[in-house]
Amino acid sequence: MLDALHYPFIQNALLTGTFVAIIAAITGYFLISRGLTFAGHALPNIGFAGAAGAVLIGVNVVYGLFVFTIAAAIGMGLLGKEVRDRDISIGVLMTFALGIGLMFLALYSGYAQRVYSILFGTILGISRNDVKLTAISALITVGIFLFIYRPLLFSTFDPLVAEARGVPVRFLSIFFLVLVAVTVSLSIQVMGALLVFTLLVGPAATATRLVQRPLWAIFIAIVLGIAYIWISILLAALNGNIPVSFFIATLAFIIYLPVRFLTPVHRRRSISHS
Amino acid sequence: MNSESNEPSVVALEHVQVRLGGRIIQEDMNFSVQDGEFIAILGPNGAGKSTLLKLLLGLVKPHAGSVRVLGRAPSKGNKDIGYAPQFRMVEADFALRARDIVRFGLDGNKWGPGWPNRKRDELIEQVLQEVNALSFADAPVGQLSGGEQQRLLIAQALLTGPRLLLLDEPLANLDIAHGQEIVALVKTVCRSRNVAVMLVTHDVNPLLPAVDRVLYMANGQCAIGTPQEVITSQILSNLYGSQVEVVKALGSMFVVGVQI
Amino acid sequence: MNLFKRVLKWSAVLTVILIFTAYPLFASGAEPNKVVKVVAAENFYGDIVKQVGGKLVNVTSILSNPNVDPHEYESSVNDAKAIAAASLVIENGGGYDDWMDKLLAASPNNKRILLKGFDIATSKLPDNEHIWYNVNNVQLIAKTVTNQLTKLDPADAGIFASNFQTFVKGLDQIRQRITVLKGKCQGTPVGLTETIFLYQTGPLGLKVLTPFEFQKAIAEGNDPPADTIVKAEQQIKSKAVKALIYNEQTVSKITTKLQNDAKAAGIPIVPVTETMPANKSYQSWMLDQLGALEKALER
Repeated sequence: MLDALHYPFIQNALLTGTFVAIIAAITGYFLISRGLTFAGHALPNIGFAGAAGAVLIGVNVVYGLFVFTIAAAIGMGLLGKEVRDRDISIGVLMTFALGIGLMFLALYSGYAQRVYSILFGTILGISRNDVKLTAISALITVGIFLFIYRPLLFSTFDPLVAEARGVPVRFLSIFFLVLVAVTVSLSIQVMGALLVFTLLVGPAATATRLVQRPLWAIFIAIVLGIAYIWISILLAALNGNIPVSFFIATLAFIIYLPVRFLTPVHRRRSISHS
Repeated sequence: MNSESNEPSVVALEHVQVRLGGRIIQEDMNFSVQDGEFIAILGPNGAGKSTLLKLLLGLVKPHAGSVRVLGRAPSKGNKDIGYAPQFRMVEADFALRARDIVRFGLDGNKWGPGWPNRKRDELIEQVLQEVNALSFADAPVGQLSGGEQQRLLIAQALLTGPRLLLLDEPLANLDIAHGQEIVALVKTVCRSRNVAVMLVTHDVNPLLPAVDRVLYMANGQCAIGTPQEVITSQILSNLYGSQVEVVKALGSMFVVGVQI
Repeated sequence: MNLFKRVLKWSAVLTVILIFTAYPLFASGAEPNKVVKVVAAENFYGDIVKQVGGKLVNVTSILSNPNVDPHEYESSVNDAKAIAAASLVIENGGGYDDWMDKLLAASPNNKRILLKGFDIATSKLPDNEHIWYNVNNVQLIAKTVTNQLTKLDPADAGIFASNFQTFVKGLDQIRQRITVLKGKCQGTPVGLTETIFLYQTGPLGLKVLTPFEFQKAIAEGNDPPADTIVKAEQQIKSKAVKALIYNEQTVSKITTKLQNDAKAAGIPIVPVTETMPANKSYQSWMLDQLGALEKALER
């Protein structure tokens, strides 16, 4: 294990993975609480289209990722208020983006390998510079979450009362989706668009089954996420061939499953004394 | 000598017209509410009862007329108003404690994560005790019954020490026993804190022992007064513009002839 | 904390401990020092280096499975480790193996020498990065490899030089084969599913009928324009081409259909690959393919 830690590419992977796990956990907690997990699936796909567009016009794929996911997030925030409408509008947006992505790929004359690398992630190809950028972005994201924590939680639980109490509910809901877009774009480097959902939602889903208080749930989600990343990278280093993202997805799954079935939820019969 | 103009009413509406989607909901509302008054807001669905609350909260603007809350125009985030909206059951696995829900009423709208604060926690304890919710204060809110969650919403509304309490259908999902509990609780709060209460409901009977006046809204018009004054066949027939009978039996009032 | 949560916590701790203690069971032994560690992005480059370096080099080739489409590749820890340890890296470049750039950036090493086949090659066809199919390019690349190995291990300069001579002799065999085949089959019309074999149809003097846009699209993993598909299929059905040269690694529904049409029309199919099949050398790979082509054209 100590042997693997000598390689810069392993160190970079561990560092970036850690930062990404932290923001993914916080974002995931709110995604679940707000019933927006489908957005966590749609945004990576939309990001893929953005990456294809970036390659087409010859810029770094990361720009395409950010631009498309943030634009889509704002669109989702503006489009639907009811959960039902939201799912439909997210689905429509996602398939539209995929169609555009397909067209970008067809228009591009060259190997689209840079785009496909978005699908699987490039956790072993992260440079020191990438680590620095991810660290700064993660720090800023965490700072923003700290700042909007109370109003976000309030408007998640009861948007009507929150608005009556002066919380800018609509703005927050759009802004939150933008934060999700940023988190997704950063996490795609590590997990790839196909599997990023599992890092986003897995640890948080497990945590919310275990504890009730939001800060504890977020903390446990962060610990789980970081553990999955570290164990997966080191297991991949041991094995040598199996991709890292497979380990992460598998770990998230095999830990979520028993927790899901062993923590039953009963509705309490109220015994009131009056 | 006390003249009415010295003491501003908690709520004052003058010639207020409310529209929703182009349709006139209320044509000409005129009434005022004083400190410590317990008002029940009655009327059929779509009459504008919830809309009236939103008017007072600053979430909706009147089409005409003036609305004054505590002497000023309504604005969002007014700490002097406590609001508990129409209640719906929270998802069973929502990860939040009862205590945390209540706390929103105090600082849910402030930026930043909120550092531990003794005074704040004491305030929350007090209000939990007031609504008799201490026994389940640490339980996950998704596991509580309807009556328990309703009490939390009321506690949440009381936290900032409001002078006006707006409750939207708090008895809707409760059985008679729990409904009576809530009515008694609201009456106690109203008297002990001298806070004006406006409570929207569709059945006045559970409230008859506690309420001071009723505001009956129907058909674009409204009438306000004591239950005995307002809930009469004559007044209601006028409001609805059709034949309405009020039948009194065993201390309860039943309105016959309309869809409530 | 209830029992279940406690169990979970301790399981997590145990797992971590297990991994730390189990590691020694999997750890591999140390490498001898004298050998030059080389990483080749594709196995044909790896083979070139092996032929020139012999026992003095340790070559890891990343793309060595002819069954994998080289354009849609994902890296593993072993690949990354090999790059981290390498003193010499050889890739194709020209947009063919961009994934190498990320791996190289993740393990920075300013003492490492990076060779790009595409940049060294002098015979380049438009929109066609498969320069290793041209013998002259390969000789130039082998020469560059020889020079670099000599820089890294000057004591063995003589060995590298003589290995290079042997290598060139093998290349000459390919050149002879091409000359003979050209004499026999010059001007014969053939079909191509993808651009790679263009580097040899030219020297062979064969007439390629398949539209270039078709081949280019297949090379890029896209669908060709509809009119070119129609044309290509027409050429097969009307037996206008005498053989269909088929890139086995860049396959799509369209190329498969073309293959089936060719079978139905009785046109011989000559399979070629982008990466080198196992257990062959660069020379035997090229010679075998040319042999299959000869058989097909003589039918």
